[in-house]
Amino acid sequence: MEASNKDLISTSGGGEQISLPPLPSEDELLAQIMITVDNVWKTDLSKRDIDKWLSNFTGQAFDLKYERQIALWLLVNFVYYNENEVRHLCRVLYHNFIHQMLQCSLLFQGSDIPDSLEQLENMTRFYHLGRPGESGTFILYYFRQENRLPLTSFISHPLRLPERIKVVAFIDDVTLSGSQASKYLERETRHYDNDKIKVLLTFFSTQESIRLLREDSIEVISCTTLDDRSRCFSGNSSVFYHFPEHLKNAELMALTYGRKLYPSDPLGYKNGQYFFGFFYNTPDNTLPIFWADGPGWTPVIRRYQKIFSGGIENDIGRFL
Amino acid sequence: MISDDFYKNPFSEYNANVMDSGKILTYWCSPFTQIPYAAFSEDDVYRDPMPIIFMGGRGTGKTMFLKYCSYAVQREKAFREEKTLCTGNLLLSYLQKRGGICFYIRIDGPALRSFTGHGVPQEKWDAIFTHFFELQIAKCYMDVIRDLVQNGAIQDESGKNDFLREAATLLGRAAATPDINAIGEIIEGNLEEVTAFRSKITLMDASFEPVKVFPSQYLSFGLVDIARRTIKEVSANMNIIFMIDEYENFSESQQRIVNSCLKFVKPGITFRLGMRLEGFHTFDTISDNEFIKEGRDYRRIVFEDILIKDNDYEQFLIDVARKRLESVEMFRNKGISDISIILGKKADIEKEAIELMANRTDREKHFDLLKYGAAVSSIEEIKDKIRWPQQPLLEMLNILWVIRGIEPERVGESMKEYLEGEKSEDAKKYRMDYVDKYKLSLMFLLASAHRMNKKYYSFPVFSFLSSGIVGNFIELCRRAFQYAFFENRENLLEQGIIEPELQNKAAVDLANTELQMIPRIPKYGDYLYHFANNLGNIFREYHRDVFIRYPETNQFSIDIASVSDEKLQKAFNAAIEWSIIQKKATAQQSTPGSPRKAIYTLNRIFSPAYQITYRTRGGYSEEFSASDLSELMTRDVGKPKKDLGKRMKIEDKDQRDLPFK
Repeated sequence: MEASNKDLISTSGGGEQISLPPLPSEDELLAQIMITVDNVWKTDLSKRDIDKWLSNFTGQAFDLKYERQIALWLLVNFVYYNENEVRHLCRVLYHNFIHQMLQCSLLFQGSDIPDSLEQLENMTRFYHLGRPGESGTFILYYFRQENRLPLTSFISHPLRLPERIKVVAFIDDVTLSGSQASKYLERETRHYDNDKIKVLLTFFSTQESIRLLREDSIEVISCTTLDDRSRCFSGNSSVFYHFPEHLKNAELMALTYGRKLYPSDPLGYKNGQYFFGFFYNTPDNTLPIFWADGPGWTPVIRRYQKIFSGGIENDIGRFL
Repeated sequence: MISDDFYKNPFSEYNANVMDSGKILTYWCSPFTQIPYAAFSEDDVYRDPMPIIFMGGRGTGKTMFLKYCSYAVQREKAFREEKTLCTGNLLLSYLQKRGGICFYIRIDGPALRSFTGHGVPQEKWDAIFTHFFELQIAKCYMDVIRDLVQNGAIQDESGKNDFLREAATLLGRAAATPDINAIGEIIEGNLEEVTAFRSKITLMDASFEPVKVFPSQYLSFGLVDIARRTIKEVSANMNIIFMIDEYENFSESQQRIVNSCLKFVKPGITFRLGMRLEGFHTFDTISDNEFIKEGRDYRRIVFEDILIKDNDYEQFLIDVARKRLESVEMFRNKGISDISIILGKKADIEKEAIELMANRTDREKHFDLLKYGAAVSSIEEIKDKIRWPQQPLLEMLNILWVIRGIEPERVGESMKEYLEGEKSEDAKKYRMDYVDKYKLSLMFLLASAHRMNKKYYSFPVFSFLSSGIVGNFIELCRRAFQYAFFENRENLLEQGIIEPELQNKAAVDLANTELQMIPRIPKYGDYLYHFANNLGNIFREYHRDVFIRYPETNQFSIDIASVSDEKLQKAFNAAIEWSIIQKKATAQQSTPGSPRKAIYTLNRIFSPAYQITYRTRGGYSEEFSASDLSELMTRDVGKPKKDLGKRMKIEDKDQRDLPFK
C-alpha cells in the first residue's frame, strides 16, 4: 500500500508514531455493522448502543480515533447467532450425531439404515450438560423441537438409566477449554457401566476440548471444531487476515481494557480470545471488551453471568 | 426486541419474483390510475386482442404488473373483494367481468440458454425448444383449469370429461379414464424428458426421442380450442392471455419462435410480453419473409417512459409507499403513511448551504473563485462589497456575477434590492438567476469550493433520483429506513421523519452500489462501467465550472446508427437495457439551433456518486461521435468536449432557461 495511504498511529503514552495501512473508516465500519445487524443478526442494536460502547474507549492504549476503529473492526467481525441460526445448529448437530453413530459398526451389526436408525433412537437418551437453568437446558428444548424427538428420548436424571440405554448424549452450546464439561461429566457418569457410550453434543468445540474429554471416554460431536483462526489474536486469526499489521495493536488494546474488566482472564476465560455469542447469552471465552458490564463500562453484547451462591436470595430480596 | 409484526422495514421486499399473491395484492398500486392521459388502461391487458409488449428497465415494475394480472393474483383478489369464501360461480363471473384470464410464464435464463450447442444442430435445438415452450404453456394452462375445477368454477362434468379426453389425445396419449391429474402428469413427464436430454447432452451422447413432438402453437392454441368447444364455462367471452416475462432472456432463435405466435394470434388468444428496453434480439418470425412490426402486430408500452414523463409519477410513488407503510403495524398505528412527509416535501438548499458553512474554519474559501474574474489584489475589496454571510448561496451568485464581469458595487446593490423586495430590473434579474436558474448549481459549486459534498434528500429529490424506476425509489427508501432505524429510530418511529443526513447516506450508498454492479453485467460489463464512469466524470466537470456556463448538464446526444462497430452498438443498447442511460422520449436539439437528435441522460440514480444534479434540466447536451463512444467505453476520459477554460467566452453567456423535468 502507498505510504500516503497509511495512518500514523501514536500510542497514548509517548507520542511515538507508527505507520500502518488504514483500517476502514469509522463511517464505513458503522455502515457495515448496520447492514450486518439488519440482515444477519436481526437484533435491535442501534448506533446509539454502539456509541455508548465506543465511549468506553478513552485512548488508554492508542489515539482515541484509532481505538474506536479497532473496536469497530472487532465488532464487524463478531459472529452473532440469532434464534433461527441456533435452531439450524440444533438440526446440524443432530445430523452429525446420527452420521457419526451410524458409522459405529459395533452398535448396528448387520442392520440396514432404517433399522439402525430405529435402534439408535431406542438406545439413546439425551440430557443437558450442567445444571438446570444453564445453557444446556435451554438448548435441549430447541434440540427436541427442531429434530422432532419424542419426549421419551430425554431423561430426567443422568444417573437413572434403564439397562437397554447404550448411548447417553449430553448437550451444551460450547465446549472450548473442555474443563467445565470434563468435571461435570466425570461426576455425573462415573457410575456408568463400561458398555455405555457417552457423547457430548455441542455447537462448537476445539481440538483441546475433544482431547481432554476423550481421556474420560467421552466422544465430542459438534457442528464446528474451532481452531486458531477463530481466536482473535492468534497468528492465523481470520479477523486480521487482511490487516495483520493491526493485530498486535488490537491485542494490546483488548488487553489494556480487558485487564480492568476481567483481570484474571483479560482476553476471555482461559485466554479464549473468541468473538462470538448467541442470542440468549455470550460465552465468557469471548473477549470481555464486548460483554463486560460494570461501573465505567457499557457492553455492546449482553452476557448473563452465572450466580453461584447468594444471588438468588439477594435477587428475591429485592421484591420483599 | 421489536417484533417483526410491529416493526420491519416497509421497503425491505421488492422483488416481485419472490412475492406470493397476497403480497402482490397488498403492495399493488396501478401505475395507470395516476396517469389519465396514458393511452393504456388496465382493462386493455385482458381485452385488447393485439399482443402487448411491456418494456422497462430493471425495477420498473414489469413483473409486479404481469403477476398482478395473472390468474393466481386475480383469484386472490376475487376472494378478497367478496370478503367471504369465493364460490366457483363468483370467481367465474369475476374473471368474465375482467374479460380474460392471464397465464403467467417465466422461464429461467439458464434454462433458456441450455437449448444450444453440444454438437446438436441449431434447427434441432429450435424444434426441441418449440416442443418445450408448448409444454410450458400447456402446463400453465392445465394448472389453471385444474384450479377452476377445484374451486367449482367449472362444474360441467361431461364437458370437463370431453376436454380431458381430447387433451390426452392431443398430447399423444389415449386416456382411458378422464383425469385432470393424469393429464398434468403427462405434461410433466414430457417436460422431464426435455430436462433429462438437456442434462445428459452436456456430458455424453444423448438422443431426444419423445413419444410426440409438439410444433409451434400445437398445444398453446390447441388446448384452448378444445376447452372452448367442450367446457361451457370457458367458452364464454373470455380471452386467453399468455404472459411471458423476461423475454430479453430468450435467444434470437427462441424469440423468432415466439414472435411467430405473436404474429399469428387467433381470436380470443393473445400474448403479453415483459422485457427490458432493447430486449428484442430479432423481429423475425420462423417464416422467412415475415416479421413483427409495432402497431401492426403488437403494441409497445414503455414503463419508464410512462413513469418519467408524467408529473403524477410522484403521486404514484406516494401511493406505492403508503401501501408499504400501512402494512407495518408501527406506522399504521401512528398514522405515518405519507412518504413525502417522512422524507420532507422539499429540499431546503439554503439551509443546507448554511449548515455546510457552519463550523468551517475557512469560511470564505469560496471567495477564492473571484480570482477567475478579478485581480487577486482586489479580492479583499470586492469581498467587502458582496459579502452576505447570512446566506452563502447569495454570496456564490455575487461571485458568479462578478467573475462574469459585473461591477461588484452593482452586484451588491442588486442583492440588497432583491432582499428588500424591490422591483428594479437588476433585482428582477438577480431573482431570476438565483431562484429560477442557478440556485442548485450554486450549491454544487459552493460544496465543490469547500471540498465538501452536496446532500441528496427529500421526497422530490428521491423521486428525481429514481429516474422513473419505481424499484430505485423503493431501494432508496429501504436504505434510508435502514439508516434511520439504526442511527435515529426515535425520530423515525416517534416523529415519522428521517433526517436529510441519513437520506443522503442512503442515496450515496445506492449510487455507489449501482456503479459497482455494472461490471457484473454479462458481456459488456467493463464497457458499461467505463461508459457510466466517464459520463459521470464529464458531467461533474460541468458542475464544477466556476462560470456555470452549462448548468446542470447531465445529458448527451449521439447518432447511434452512425456507429459501425457492432460490439459498441450492442454495448450501447445494453446500457439502455440496464437503464444505465435513458433515452428521452422525443428527439431534441442538443444545442439551440442544431438538428434534432436522440438525447440520452445518465440514470440519475448515479448522481450522488458524481456530485451532479438529480434533475434533468435540458439545455445543453454533450454531443458524441462514434469514435467518442469508443473512447468512452474503453478508457478513462472524464473530460468534457466543451472548453471549460477559466475565461468566459461571449457565446457562452447566453444560455437559455429551460424548465426542469
